[in-house]
Amino acid sequence: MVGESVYRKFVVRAVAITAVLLLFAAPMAASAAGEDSGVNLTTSPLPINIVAAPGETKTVDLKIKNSGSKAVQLRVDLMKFKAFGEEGKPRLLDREPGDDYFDWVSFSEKTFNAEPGVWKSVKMTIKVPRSASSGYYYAAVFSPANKPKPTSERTAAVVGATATLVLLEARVPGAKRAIEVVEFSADRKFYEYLPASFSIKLRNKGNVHVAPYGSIFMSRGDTKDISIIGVNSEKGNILPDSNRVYTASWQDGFPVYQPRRDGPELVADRSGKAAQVLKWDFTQVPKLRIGKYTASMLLVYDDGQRDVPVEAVVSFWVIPWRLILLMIAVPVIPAALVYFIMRRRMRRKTA
Amino acid sequence: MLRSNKTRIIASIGTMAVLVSAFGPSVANAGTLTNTYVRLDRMKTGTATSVRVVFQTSAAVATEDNLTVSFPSFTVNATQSVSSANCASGAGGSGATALPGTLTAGGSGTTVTVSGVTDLAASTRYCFDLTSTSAVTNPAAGEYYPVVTTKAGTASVDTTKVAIRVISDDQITVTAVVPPIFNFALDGNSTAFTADLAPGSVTSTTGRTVTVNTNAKTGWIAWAKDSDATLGLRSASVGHTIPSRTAGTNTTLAAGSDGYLWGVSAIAQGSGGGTTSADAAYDATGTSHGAGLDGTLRPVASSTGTASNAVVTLTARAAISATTPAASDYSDTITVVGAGNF
Repeated sequence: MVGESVYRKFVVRAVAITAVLLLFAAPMAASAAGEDSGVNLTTSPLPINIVAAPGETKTVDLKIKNSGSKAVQLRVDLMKFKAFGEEGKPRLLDREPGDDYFDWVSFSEKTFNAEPGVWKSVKMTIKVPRSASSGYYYAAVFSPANKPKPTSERTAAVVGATATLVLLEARVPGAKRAIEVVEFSADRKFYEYLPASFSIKLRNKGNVHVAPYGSIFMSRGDTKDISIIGVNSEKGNILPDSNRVYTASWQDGFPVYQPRRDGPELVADRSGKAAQVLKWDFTQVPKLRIGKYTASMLLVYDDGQRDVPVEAVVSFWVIPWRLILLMIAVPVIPAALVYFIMRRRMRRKTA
Repeated sequence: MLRSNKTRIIASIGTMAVLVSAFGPSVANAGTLTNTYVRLDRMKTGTATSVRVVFQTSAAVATEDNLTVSFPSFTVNATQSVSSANCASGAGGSGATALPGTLTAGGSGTTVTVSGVTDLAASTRYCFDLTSTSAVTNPAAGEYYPVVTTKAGTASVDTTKVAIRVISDDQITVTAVVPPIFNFALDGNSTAFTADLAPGSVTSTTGRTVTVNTNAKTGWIAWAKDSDATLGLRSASVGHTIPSRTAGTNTTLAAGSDGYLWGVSAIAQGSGGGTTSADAAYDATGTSHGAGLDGTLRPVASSTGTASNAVVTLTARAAISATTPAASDYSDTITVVGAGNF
């Protein structure tokens, strides 16, 4: 009886101690969930280009990886994107009235657990109706399922997310693909040294996205194809009824400005832009550029039946004036000095 | 008489034979090369290739001055080049001794003759390369037996036959895929103002960084929006909102007047090929600049190409008036989204 009493007391005390420990453990677990850990996500591929016939169903794999160190619950939402502004940068937008094409899309899972360092595939299925035509532009947005809240005074909560852009073309006869050159220009009329930077603004006047690509051919007088520079080799698209600005750079010269680097890192100037340094590679002396150069741009795009060319031309001057002055000064200055010294002596003699 | 003549003749012949065998020119029996291999640098049928030969001389003493390698069933190029400069040591070396001499080589029929060889030491391993990329052309797939012979003039000194194979294909094709990827890292989920908001100054938050890594040559864009129903810094306890400035329009906060905005206060380019820049509206490199956010995702930064640790710092700024209600729960929720460009 005495032993039983001692045993009961022991059990009661053990339960009480355990309960107290759990009472303190629970808030610790909660605080672990509320840590300011940010988000680190990796997606692939990007962007996704889909061509479907009306009535066809297409499924693509959206790959997402939690590149952080802790598991996180993620969700995927559907948005759309449009090009805006003169440069045609994409803008993400929520669904608006009339955007029935959102209903064509389903995901294999809306929320899922993302373990750290593990790739996860989420299938995006698009059932393209027979009435579909032209292009449709989706954004699959991955974000934490549990949105963080401000945790203390005078704080703002910041939620991170990553989106995969999906371009769907419902291929129908009569889809219009038309590109025109709005502007082809060099950033200056006169350069001392290369690089010469080109800006190519194109407009898509059709109803389907198009990816024009091609080259810029540099010439000087009768000398053709001094250099050939690729334009949009990565096949970036222009959305319908919008502009897009592509850039290209002619860097094949001596000497030439290059981005300043500190090891592999780019160095920024005071304005935050990449600082430049003039590089003198004397193996490239034959590429000393002087004179008037003409850049002839030739791009092509697929209009659904054939490649259609798009052309434009711009000219500019390269005058390495400081180098020219130096080349003149090197022989002239000593000669002038000698002349003046001799003339002064002659005058003294005659005097 | 006749028997004694016969005996004399036989004895004479025997004596002659002994004398000839003792003092006459000896017909040398060719020794055997050991540790020998003939390496075709390409084993694929129908392929022209250079060749490496490694052999070890026998213990016999001789004065070699050339050697031959026969390639039965192979097509041997009449024009040959030979070298022992690289076959002995260094990367890919055989560890043997470079074949000595001022070496020249030529092909005839199915045999390559290497001349200009100086005397080889006994029991020594030598090597040489037929360096022409078309020294021989491989026949059909199968097993073949080249013969390597060291010679003194036309006399064979050491010889051996080795086995080599010609196969249908000697190459392994390796394939790999590097997919386009976009990595977006936000370093934290909250950002605090560095001091209590006061009417006499514009106060900023510590800033949150977005780090981007991508191999997308088309670049990337980052957008931001205010995710709360009420735009601005909202205090639920006093029911007051420090209003957000006009979204998408760069403006300057003035101390003493309620206002709240966001912007890109710093950019680190990293080592990618693209140039990262802030959208003009959200350029917050000053101390009071930026633009408001609303419920629409607004582009705040972008890059023209690939990125390796490109870092964009997002900072919030706020100013209050003297009559802004006091509260400790002013807060807001911002969503930042990144994506590779199309």
